[in-house]
Amino acid sequence: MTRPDPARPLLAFHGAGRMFAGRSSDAPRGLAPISLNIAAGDFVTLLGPSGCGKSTLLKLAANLLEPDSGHVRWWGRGFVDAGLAGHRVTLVPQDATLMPWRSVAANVRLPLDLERLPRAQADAKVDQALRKVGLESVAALRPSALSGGMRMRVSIARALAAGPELLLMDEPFAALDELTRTALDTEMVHLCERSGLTTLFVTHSIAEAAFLSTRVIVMAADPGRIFAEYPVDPAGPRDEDFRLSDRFASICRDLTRLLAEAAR
Amino acid sequence: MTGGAFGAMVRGIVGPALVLFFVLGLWQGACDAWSIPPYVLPAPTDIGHALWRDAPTLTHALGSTLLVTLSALGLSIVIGSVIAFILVQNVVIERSLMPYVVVMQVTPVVAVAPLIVILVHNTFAALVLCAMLIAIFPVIANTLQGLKSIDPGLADYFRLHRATRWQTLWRLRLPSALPLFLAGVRVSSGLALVGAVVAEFVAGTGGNSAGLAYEILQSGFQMDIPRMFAALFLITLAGLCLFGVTTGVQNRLLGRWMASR
Ligand SMILES: Nc1ncnc2c1ncn2[C@@H]1O[C@H](COP(=O)(O)OP(=O)(O)OP(=O)(O)O)[C@@H](O)[C@H]1O
Ligand SMILES: [Mg+2]
Repeated sequence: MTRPDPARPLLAFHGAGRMFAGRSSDAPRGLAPISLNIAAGDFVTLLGPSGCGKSTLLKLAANLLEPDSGHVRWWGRGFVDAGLAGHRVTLVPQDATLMPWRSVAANVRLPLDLERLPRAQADAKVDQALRKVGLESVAALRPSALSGGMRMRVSIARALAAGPELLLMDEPFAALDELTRTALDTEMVHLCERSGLTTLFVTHSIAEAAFLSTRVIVMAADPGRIFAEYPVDPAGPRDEDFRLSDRFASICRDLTRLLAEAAR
Repeated sequence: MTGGAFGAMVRGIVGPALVLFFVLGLWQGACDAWSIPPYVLPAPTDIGHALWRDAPTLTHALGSTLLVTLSALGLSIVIGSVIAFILVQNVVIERSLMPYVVVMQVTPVVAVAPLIVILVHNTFAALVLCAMLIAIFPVIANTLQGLKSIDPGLADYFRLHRATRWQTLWRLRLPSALPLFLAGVRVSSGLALVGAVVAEFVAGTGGNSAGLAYEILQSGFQMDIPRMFAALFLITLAGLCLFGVTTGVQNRLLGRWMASR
């Protein structure tokens, strides 16, 4: 994995937040202003109780929501300028959100179609992306013919085909069984190492956060805010051995403790 | 697989056919047994005979009615989609125009038809207009609903990837709207026929543009009840054909969707 370069933040929150109006008697809901830098090559995981603003943070990072305080910068610029410069941000939503009326291949080709890439070039990229997630054999099927785990992988392939530099993932594996999830986690690590992706990842799973991240951000609720940052630095590669190591266990222990403190 | 589908088709045809023969037999038997006169209740054979005897006039009338029906349906589809499309452009437009669409729907067209017949001099145009007023609402309502029923996750994805308005329309909105649009067209096709017949009744047009409703009226004046039933039979047949065709089109176009249901 390329070393994170903190001097050149790829995504930066400068006191950016977004609160939602509720009844005045309620606790403040939404995301309080936060500051956060994500450097190229980082794999940052957001970990926190339900309602602590993880999805809100991700939507701000995807420019799908305007912050009501501060601002968000991509490559030091506004979203549109950064986009025009050819940098790419893409999103893997919590459920696969595929087009049921199109084939798997056409779904994966969507971001390329949207930027009007010539068909031949696009198809080459689609094949490549489908191979990365091991789904080249189902390219012609409709999403409805796939299992939930396969659909999720189609969604990931669609994100990869876009050739992103920044990948935003909102609990992508939450609906999957433990076994599929572990397998996909391992695939994610390989993918990120190979493609040099920068990833902002939301999860409820401590083990998943410990396995994937270079940095875990533990969040607290009411209002949503950053409670602690925890760097993860395994001695060796992230593989099955890492999952079984004492180092992994101690990372999980630390994260569990932080999460409990955040919930207090 | 094909055997199963074929079997299902046979069962789908054989069952209703048996019921039909049974009912027709009972009807015929009752008419014969109590020698009910044809002007009270014509036996199926009387109706068949009328159908055969007046085939030229009746098929000509059927042609006129179908022409009005199909014209009204076609116009409803085109104009209805365009109206839905305009309505969905923005909330202000929808809020301002929707009440009038509803007014158009709740006003009984039978009551407006005489006015239309007076105002529009061309009889054919008047008939089509009446039928269209009845048939257009399901297209508008369903297309509008369809254009709005977009997966918000997909809409976000399109936005994130800076899809143009046109791309969003062509790749997301229209495909999302298709199932509801087609369901609307299917309802409309039935209503267009109803509208055509109602309009013909009101207009009472004879001559070259005489439709099946006119034949029914005429038969009534002449106390030719079997012929009346024959015309009625043709209207029902036309309705069934329309239903079959629109259902077929729907299944064909939605094949991609159906696989997901
Ligand atoms: N569109 C909205 N309107 C009003 N309130 C909202 C809206 N979106 C989020 N909120 C509120 O903001 C807070 C944070 O929501 P968010 O979806 O970011 O939480 P989360 O951390 O993703 O939770 P979960 O883990 O359950 O997905 C919640 O209290 C929620 O009720
Ligand atoms: Mg969430």
